[in-house]
Amino acid sequence: MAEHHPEPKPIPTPDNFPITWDDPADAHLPLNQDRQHAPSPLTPLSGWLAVEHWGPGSSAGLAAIGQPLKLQIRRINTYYYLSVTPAFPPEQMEEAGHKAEEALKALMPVYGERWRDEWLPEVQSHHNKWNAFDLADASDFELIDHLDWTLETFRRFWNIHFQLMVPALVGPSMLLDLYNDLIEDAGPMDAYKLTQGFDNTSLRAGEDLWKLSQVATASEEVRNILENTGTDQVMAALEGSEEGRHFVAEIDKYAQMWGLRSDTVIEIADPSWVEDPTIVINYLKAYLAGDAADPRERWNEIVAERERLVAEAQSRISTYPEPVKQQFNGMLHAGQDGHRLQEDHNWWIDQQGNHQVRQVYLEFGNRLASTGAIPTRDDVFMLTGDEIMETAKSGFRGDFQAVIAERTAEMEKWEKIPAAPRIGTDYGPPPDNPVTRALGRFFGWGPVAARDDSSDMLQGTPGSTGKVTGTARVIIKLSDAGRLKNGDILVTATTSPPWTPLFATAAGIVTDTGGALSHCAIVAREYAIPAAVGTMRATQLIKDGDQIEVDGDAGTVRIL
Amino acid sequence: MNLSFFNDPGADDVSLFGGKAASLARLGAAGRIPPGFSISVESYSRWVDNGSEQMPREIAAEIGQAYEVLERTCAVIDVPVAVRSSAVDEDGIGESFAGLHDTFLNVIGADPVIEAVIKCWRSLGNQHAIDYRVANGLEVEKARMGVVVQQLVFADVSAVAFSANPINGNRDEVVINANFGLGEAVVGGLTTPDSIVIKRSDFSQQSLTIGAKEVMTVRTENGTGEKPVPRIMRDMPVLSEDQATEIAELVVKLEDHSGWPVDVELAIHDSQLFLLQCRPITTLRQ
Repeated sequence: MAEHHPEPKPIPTPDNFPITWDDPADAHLPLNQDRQHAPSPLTPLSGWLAVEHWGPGSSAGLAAIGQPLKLQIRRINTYYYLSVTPAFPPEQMEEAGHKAEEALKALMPVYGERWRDEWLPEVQSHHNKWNAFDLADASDFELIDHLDWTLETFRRFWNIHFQLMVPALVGPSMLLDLYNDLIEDAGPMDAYKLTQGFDNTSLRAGEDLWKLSQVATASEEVRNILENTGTDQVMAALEGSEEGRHFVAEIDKYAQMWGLRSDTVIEIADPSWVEDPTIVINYLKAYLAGDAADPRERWNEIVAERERLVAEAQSRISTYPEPVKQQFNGMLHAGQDGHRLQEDHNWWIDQQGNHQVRQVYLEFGNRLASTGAIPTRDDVFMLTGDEIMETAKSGFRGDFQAVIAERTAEMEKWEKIPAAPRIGTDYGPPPDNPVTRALGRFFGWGPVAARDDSSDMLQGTPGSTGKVTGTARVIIKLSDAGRLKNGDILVTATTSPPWTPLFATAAGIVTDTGGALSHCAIVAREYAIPAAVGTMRATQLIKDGDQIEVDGDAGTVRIL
Repeated sequence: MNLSFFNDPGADDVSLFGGKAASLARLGAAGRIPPGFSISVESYSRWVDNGSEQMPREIAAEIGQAYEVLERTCAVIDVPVAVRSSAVDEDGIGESFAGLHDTFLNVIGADPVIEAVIKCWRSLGNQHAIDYRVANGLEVEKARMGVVVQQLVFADVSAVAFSANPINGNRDEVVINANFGLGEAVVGGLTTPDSIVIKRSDFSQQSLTIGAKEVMTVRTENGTGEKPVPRIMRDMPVLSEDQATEIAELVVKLEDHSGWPVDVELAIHDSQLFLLQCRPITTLRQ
């Protein structure tokens, strides 16, 4: 493959998005706003964590599996930017590329087993240590020590994350290429159906939520409270009766099991469900309003469809040479593992990992607030990790009132200004290889049709098959999801696994970000609802309440 | 004698079974070939004596029994076979009868085999076969034919190997071309196969050039056809290093056996290497 080195070009930014580089060298990075993982302005602490620990941990994970890529995060004008660059100078990249392909080939058949036998047990042992640590009772010294270990473990989590997720993304992506080469008349979404319907934590969390809604339905009193009380009054109302208290215990049980998560995977300032049951209550309200069907029924259908397509493909290639059949069966295995682990890794690493880090910093928030260094506990997220550590080491004393006010104002200011999608330096499109192809399908890179602001048509990427017309609900934060009524179409910047239960009541999904292998597209297929992903500007152009038509096969949205 | 298995004594007699059958029997003595049997020229004569219509009952019964033996040898019920003409005057080196007489691939069951044998015999009368004999001074009236019935090996990998480098004439280089699937794509030059050069003196691999391998030949409902090699497999080597060495050792042995540089067609099926054909390299530079 010929390497190309186009002339690097500085990327101009809009007038309302001027950039002052903290480090002038950063202007040479190819920085893309990663709205899929952090659509809104990031708190300083979440930004610091991503820059100082997420990036180095992730890059170390890539290096551990021989992938010569460096991931770096920058928080620019409070927004979250990701840079993916070669890890070595250009003259070494060709050899590194060959080695990377070999390493990936070796990892592909075994990464599912490595996750199960090696990485997941390690991740679980770290969770056990976090859960066993009594934050409130720890001395200042113990707490500081615990934070050091927490940050080191956070880096290790992202190291494991990328060792796992490179093959887990490349597997389904290569299966897609292979299937479409072998089955010449395949429909555009058929290959994705080969991997659907495997048990995973997102689906189990969704199923348990449905069961919880069935418990609520069984009690007239509980059902009445959920249907007729405002979300923030529901818990108080439930506490007022025997049946209600019984149901509160059920909610607690659910939150203890599945509540160690919040909106996104980068922002740690959002409360976990176990801290604030608002999101669970909203989900229950939606499930009751929609009389949501047993997810197992839909589940059985997509499993049957998967098995039918697999058998059909295997029969179509039954007379092909054995190496081709072996390749197909190997890729099927790798693709199915990847698909399943797309959800599971997120639960164990991204969500619970963030939850743990958040809990540790909340205790620092408590102590900083008790000395008056910060006004309230949650203001801890407005400091950087270095500031927190330094202050903790001097007895949690300091005065951050002014700094916090300034930074809060800064976030509020930028929230109103859309971030420039790309900043820094443009090095042209990445070289074509299995890894960049898979990343493209995850992030939704690639050629996008010309956009016309005046048009009533938005072009994205096909995410999940089918066509549907309905009322658009533009929802950016999960805490706002209570507005989504049964049969509405969810329009959002991005979804992550905690959003999964919404797919049970939504009639269709439209996102700004992501490709056919993104979380949203995968889950939409599992829930068999149409989805158009990566439309870039759906949340800007579609107004809440608009009637829209989503064509999941074409990846288009029409505003009616 | 109506028929004989390839490894029976006398199966390599051209006058009894024809050129193709004799060369297969000789090849079978040098390496593994797909098993099969040859129907004798004598059977042909009996059929002609009986009016060139039905298969004489006794011969039909023998072919049926031989097919059953072949099923057991291959451990495959309804084993697919190739039925090929084997004329007496088409002896290995010299005149090439390629394509003049009929060949039937993927024949399954005793009765279809018997039908195919009769069609092969009838193909002695093909107009272009007659023209060819006339043009080469062969006696048309005396032409007689055996028929070869051989297990059809559905190759996972097909290769053509040369015991000397046919491009530069180097006698110390074995050259192997290989592709996924059946042999047509590599034999017929439909695509660029992988190319491996092995040093004859110590069997060390000198070079491996991964070919573009755009297409491979696969079985289809009506025989065979060309399909694109999946893109993710095009940059994969077709042969392992061990397989390449095994092939190189075999073709060197065949050259030693025959006394001249050879051009060999091979198939790998179910991890077993099969010899399909062996010819002298006629174009070698000195």
